[in-house]
Amino acid sequence: MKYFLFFLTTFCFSQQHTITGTITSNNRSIDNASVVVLDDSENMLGYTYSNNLGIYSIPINSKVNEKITISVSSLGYKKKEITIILSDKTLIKQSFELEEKAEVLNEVVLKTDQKIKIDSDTITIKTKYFTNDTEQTVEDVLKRIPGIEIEEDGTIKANGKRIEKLLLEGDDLFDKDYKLLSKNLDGKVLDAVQILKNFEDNPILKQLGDSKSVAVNLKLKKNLLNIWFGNLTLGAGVVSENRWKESLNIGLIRKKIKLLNLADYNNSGIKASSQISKSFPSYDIYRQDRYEKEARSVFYSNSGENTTFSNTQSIFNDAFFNTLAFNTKLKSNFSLRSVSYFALDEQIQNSLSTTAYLVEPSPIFNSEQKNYALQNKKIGSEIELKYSLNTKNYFTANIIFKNNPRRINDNILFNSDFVDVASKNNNYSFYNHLYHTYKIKGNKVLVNYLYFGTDQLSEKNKIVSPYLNEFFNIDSQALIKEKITNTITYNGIKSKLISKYKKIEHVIGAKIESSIEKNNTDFLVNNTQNTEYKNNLHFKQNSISLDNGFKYEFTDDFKLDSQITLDFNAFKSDNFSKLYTLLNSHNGLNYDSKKTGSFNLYHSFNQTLPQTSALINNYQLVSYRSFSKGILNEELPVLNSQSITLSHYYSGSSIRYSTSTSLSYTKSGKINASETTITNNFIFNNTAFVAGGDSYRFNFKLMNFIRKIQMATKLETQQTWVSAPIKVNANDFVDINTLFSTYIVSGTTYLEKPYNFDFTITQNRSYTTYNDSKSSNVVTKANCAVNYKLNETFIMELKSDFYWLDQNYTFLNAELNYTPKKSKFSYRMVLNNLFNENEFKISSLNDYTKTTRSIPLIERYALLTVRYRF
Amino acid sequence: MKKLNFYFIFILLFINSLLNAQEKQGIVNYGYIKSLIYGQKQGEEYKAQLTFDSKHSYFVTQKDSLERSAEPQIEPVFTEGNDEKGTPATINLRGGRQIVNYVGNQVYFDREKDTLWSYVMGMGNIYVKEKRPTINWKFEKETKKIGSYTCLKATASFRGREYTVWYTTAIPIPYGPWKLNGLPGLVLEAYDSDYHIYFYFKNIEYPVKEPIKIDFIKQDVEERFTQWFRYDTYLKHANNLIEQKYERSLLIAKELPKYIPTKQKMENLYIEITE
Repeated sequence: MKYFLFFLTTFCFSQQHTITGTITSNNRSIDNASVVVLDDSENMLGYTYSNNLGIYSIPINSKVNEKITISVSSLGYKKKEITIILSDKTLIKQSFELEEKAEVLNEVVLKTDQKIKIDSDTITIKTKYFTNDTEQTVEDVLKRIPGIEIEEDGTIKANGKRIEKLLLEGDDLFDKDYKLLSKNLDGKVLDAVQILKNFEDNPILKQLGDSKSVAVNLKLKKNLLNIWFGNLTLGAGVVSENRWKESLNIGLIRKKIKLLNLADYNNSGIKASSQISKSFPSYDIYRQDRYEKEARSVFYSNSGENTTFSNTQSIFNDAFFNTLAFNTKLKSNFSLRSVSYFALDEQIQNSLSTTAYLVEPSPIFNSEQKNYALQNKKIGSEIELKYSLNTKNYFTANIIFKNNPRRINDNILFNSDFVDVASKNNNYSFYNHLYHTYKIKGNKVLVNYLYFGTDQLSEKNKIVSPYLNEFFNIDSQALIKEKITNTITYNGIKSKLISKYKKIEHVIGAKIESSIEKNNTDFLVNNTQNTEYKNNLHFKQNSISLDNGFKYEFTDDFKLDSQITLDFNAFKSDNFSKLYTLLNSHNGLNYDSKKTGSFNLYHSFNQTLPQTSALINNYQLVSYRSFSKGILNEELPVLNSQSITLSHYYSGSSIRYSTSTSLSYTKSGKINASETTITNNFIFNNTAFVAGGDSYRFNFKLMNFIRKIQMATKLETQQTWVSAPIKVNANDFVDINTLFSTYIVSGTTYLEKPYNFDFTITQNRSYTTYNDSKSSNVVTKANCAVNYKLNETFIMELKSDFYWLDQNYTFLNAELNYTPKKSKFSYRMVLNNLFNENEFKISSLNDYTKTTRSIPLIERYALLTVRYRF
Repeated sequence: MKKLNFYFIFILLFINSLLNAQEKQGIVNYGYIKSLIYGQKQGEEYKAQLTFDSKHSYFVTQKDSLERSAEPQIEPVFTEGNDEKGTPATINLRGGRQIVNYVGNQVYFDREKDTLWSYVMGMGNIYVKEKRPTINWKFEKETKKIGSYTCLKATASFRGREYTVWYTTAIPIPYGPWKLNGLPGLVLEAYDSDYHIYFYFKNIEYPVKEPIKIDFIKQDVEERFTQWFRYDTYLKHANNLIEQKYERSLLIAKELPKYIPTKQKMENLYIEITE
């Protein structure tokens, strides 16, 4: 028994050993020689340098019978290694005799004056230097960061490019639906914003380098990490009733798990469902693609909204939404991300419009008074799994489910009679994406992509229209029911091989796809089926496509990019089947120079098939007064167009400005045009395929930071000239020429003073020439905001909007923010529309149509909100 | 005759041993990116140099004669060092100009005495002498190649920062940039957890063809040497400077009510933050 215990002790406990010895060479002791002791698995047990007598001594903790390696090295001598097995002796003597060698070290990784080319990748910007403390959401903060632009709908651009992802502390939560994050997360949680160039989420593709994508990473304040944080906002109208704004943010950001729940309820005009988009297809020949198809929607009811005024001025809406997103690393190589959301909008929009159709022989006038009510729900959920099997294999799986039930009730006084439209829509989408990225030896990557999905749309429309009933020769109060079911189901597999060499990058890809589309319309007039307006169509498309992309670097500055895609599409419909060959090519040259900027010249040639709506052979009712039809018993033609673009981008580092210029010309071959017949009460559209027109587009943008006045300014102009064929109430197609011009001047100050201001002036001009008649329309608007910081706790902002339309309108909004020191509460008072503008009238010009619309505006109100941050 | 030969050989051997005993020196050039406020390697970039022999090493950076730059370096703190299509409105709010002086920030290490002498500019006249601080290096097995050298990784917490260094046992000398000494090989790359400090290897020459002198700490013209301070004295002095600056800003705030006094943080100003 005691032998057993002794046996255990010697094997179980580690012992202190000391290894000592002398290092010599040719009878001379070597001082300052490095002695390193490693164990069997190369773990460091101890190290030292020999003293001036050449003696070394290292204490180590190791088990008896363990194998250790002692390495001795010194400059000018060959390295020596001895492996010994430890006995139970605590003192181990091991001396070394070293052999001389000529030692010359002259490694040059960089010359002394050179600097490493790091961080062309990340730009970090501390938000506190750019904010003025009135920002409520992350989107408000991003608007003030130089280098980041926010488009009208909330899409974020960094360095001129739309971002791939909006990350939170390095991790993705919302993927393509990032607007849910930017529009709802409290702006005050941010510490810094990073712009990541050459962004690539896929770790294997990242090694290929050279990604063109950009992403933005939000860095939170350090004291909010690893704890539950968030805020609760409660707001109600004071003086005026029925104004509400409540929101809740809860989040937990840890290294391994990130969780956010954002909820909001408001009736100040901001829509909940507009933050969520339906599908996000994307195509990048050199990297990953994403295919998502949508079923075609048929019936539409115009809401009467106008985008000239901002949502908070003209949209009457009750919005509620809640979204929960999280990202967790289940294992170090396996992560799971999920987003779920529920959004509900209840909108009531009243408007009055008069439309003039400038047709021959005499124009047709209509008037429409709408009482439009919409209930829009969007429910969805997405799961994404990312798995790195090893350094060569990476898998991603995306499962997306969306549901969008929608109800519209539109009561219209059209000309002199009442029309009632009730639509009940439902839309289910189910998308799946599976990616496998495989690294072949060296610099070749194989990307395999399997995708399938379905989109089902059902529309049930009930219309009571005396005009339609007169058209169908039935009782003037009879009910017309239109039931539309459109579905598309598709699946496909795509593989591409990406090879990257020093000067060349080459991609070759092949895709096989199959899709089935069903369009079904049932039309009941007074409960009897009317077969003239009924449609039942099936389309099947089986296609094989081949991609080839080739990039060549002539020199560091001069590059060529040539892409070509060939599609063989076997199209089968009830009436015909045909094998189409479609060619798409894109060729460009790029010259990048630090002195003169970046020049781009490229040419594109595109061939596509028209939308399947072109094959609808009976008329379909697409709104309460328009019908649409496709071509009759013909094959679908191939549509083509070509364009050539020249662009230039320059950013001067010491002069602090950037310019971007682009000029492009597009010529359309065959296009999908419409033969329109407008009568007093109806519009009939027939699809026709004709030779298209051409268009020119010129865009110039100059951004400059003027140091003397600490102001960032932007000047922008866009000119688009389009010539397109239309046929309206005529026998032939005639060209209509349009010129759209936009001029924008804006400035934002970043003074280190208590006051700051920013302004934007925009003018949109449109001119149309059609049938010898010319029409024009000018809309000018100016926004000006002044921000004044009374002291640490009070900040006031005055915003005014001026509109020069047919009449002039002025809006004045004021905001007062009170943030007491050391308090978790902050207060905000919003005074909206102080001049109480009630209604506006706006004219718009579109091809041959001139519409004047009167829309009521949100009345004056005062909203007080309290925000509690934890 | 035999005796003469013997003496001759003896002299030759003696001279030979003298020659062999002649110290060989080396020079290592590093790059040093200092971004104490922003991290992510976004900040002023300097050249740094380590000269060594078997017994001593001398490290210097932020020295004006090392920075022989052709154009004036206006380093806007918000863009990367190589401006390509950088941000359109790059705003230089903090003035990221290089801060150099005549002598530079220096660290002198003597192996036999196991002592470090150092000088940090901008603090008055703080010249510090201390026993080489023990850094509890944690050795990892990860390797990476820098040039043709395979480097091993070691991490440690030292005076308020978490450092990661890459050292190579192919150059078995216990030297490295700044105070990152004492490893079984030369440190080629070193950085702290958020890249506020970043040293990277450029080139090495050993032995140097023309013998050089391993300098001792040079004193700056404007900050003259008075005595050697201990490390804790340096820390106290650094904290004092921050307090003094803050007090001055409080006085200014009294006169300008809209001026908000802020106290700077140690980690935004100095490499060494704590004991």
